[in-house]
Amino acid sequence: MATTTTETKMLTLCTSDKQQFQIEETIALQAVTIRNMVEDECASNVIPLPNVNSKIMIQIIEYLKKHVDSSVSKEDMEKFDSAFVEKKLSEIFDIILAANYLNIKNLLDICCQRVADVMKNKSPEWVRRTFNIVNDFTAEEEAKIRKEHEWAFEGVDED
Amino acid sequence: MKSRRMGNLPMKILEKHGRALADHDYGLRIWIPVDIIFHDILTRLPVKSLLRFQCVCKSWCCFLSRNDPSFIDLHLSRSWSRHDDTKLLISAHGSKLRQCLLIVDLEGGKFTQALTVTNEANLSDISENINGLVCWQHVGLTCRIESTYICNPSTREFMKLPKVPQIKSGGCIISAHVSNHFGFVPSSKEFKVLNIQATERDSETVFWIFTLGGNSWRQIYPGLPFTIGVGKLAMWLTYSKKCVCFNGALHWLLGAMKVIVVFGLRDEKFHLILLPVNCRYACAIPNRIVLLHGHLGVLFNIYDNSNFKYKRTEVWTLEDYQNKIWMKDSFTISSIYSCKLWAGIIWPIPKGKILRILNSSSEEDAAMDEHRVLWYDPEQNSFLKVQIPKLDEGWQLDIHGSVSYTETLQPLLSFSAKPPEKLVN
Repeated sequence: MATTTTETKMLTLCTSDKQQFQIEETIALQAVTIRNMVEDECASNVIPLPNVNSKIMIQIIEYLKKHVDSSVSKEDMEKFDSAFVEKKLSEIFDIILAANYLNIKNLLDICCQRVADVMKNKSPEWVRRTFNIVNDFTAEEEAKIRKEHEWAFEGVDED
Repeated sequence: MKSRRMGNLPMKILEKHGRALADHDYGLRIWIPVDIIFHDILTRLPVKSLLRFQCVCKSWCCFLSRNDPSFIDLHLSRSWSRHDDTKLLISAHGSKLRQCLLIVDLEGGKFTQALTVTNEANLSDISENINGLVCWQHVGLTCRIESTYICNPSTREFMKLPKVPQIKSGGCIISAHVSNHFGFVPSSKEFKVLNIQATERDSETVFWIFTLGGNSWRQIYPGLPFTIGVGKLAMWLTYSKKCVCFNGALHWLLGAMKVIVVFGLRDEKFHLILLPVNCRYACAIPNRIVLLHGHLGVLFNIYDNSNFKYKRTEVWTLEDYQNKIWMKDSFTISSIYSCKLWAGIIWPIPKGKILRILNSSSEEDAAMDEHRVLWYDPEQNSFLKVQIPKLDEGWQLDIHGSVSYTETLQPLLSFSAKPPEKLVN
């Protein structure tokens, strides 16, 4: 794919709901999965991304566009990142899945940090509901585990 | 989907909980791969939350019961590098010999009581934070270390080490100056305690080593690299409270001699590092040995040659530890905090900012009593006042017994045959 053209090279990404996005190659290549596809020359004109829908793709492109801009100061970038993750948890989960698939490490990191920040004062019941985990302890077993670190249950948010 | 790091996970967990689901947010049903939950999300949680989430289900309990060293390491390195997660460990004392350790969250201004003890051990004498663990001891009336404790304040566990054997000469116990120094060897992942029992003569000094997980103290014969004055270097080491562990070695700043005394915890030998040539002149006073931006460094206060007024503070860091290459960074402290204040106690915190804990004895400090903890940001040249929350009636903070702190899940259970003591507040 080595080219020496000076004009901006564009890539077309096709999401799971068959929407096409035309973006600059330098922006798209921040996603390691796309970079690998381009480098391996296994991508034709249109790169299919069957695991990402267009709603999420729009947000990811917004993130990538900001992060490709080297003129943005570190402080402004941090501000952008913290505003970016101010979303509902279900949206954050969607972005985590897409960032994981596209292999965009920073994006995955800030989203996972956001989930951790939301989770940290929550109850085990909240965690079970959010991650849809079945409690497979008997009441006695659970009481025993709770008793081991009773102090860890102080100051928990109400659900 | 391309699987990342799945190999690290116990297969049992994968079979049982291939994916998790989030659905009650606004009706979407989303599956989050379990490796993302464990490696990317749970490693970013405070220790308290992780202990609480042990009761979520059996697989979480298995994973969070701290049997997996790679999870503990990843969690520690994440809490070490997080920007908004600066913590301080401060001791406090109350009536009837009661003492406690507090974990103070500098950004949130909150504190949690890590543990309370009622014994003679002096908590204000805690060691530097070594990968989230600290060490303290009780020195008895006969200048003997009666007991040594290792503690994980995040999990509120602590354990007592066996008694250190004492120097004897011809059957008599020699009066000695004693100290413990706690450190970590990254290559072997071992925690070690160095015990020094120094007499008036270096030649009579005895060194003992205890490796966490072992069951006894072992005498070593490292030999001191040089002597000062009449051979009292070892005695001086026992007095010097500020010992920095870096790169598997303990470091003491010997300002008067413009050197750093180093004890390698792996080879168990002493050697020296010379301070940079440029700051060996009289008006540069080495103030403190520090860890800054992941390097070992020394803070120098620079004074005017003619009137001896404070000019600025220089930080020299060992950019290349192996080849002993020093680099200079310099900043001046804004004038309202005079050099008198600045000459007090400072701890650099991992993010490169420097914390100043005021000595409440002077007048200036009394005026700012409610802001007894300050931190200094060299980049902005500004001080930030840190509000330390009020304690209950009858408790007093030992501001001097404080160190910067990073949380860890590290179980003490792995170091001892019997379960560690648990404390109920």
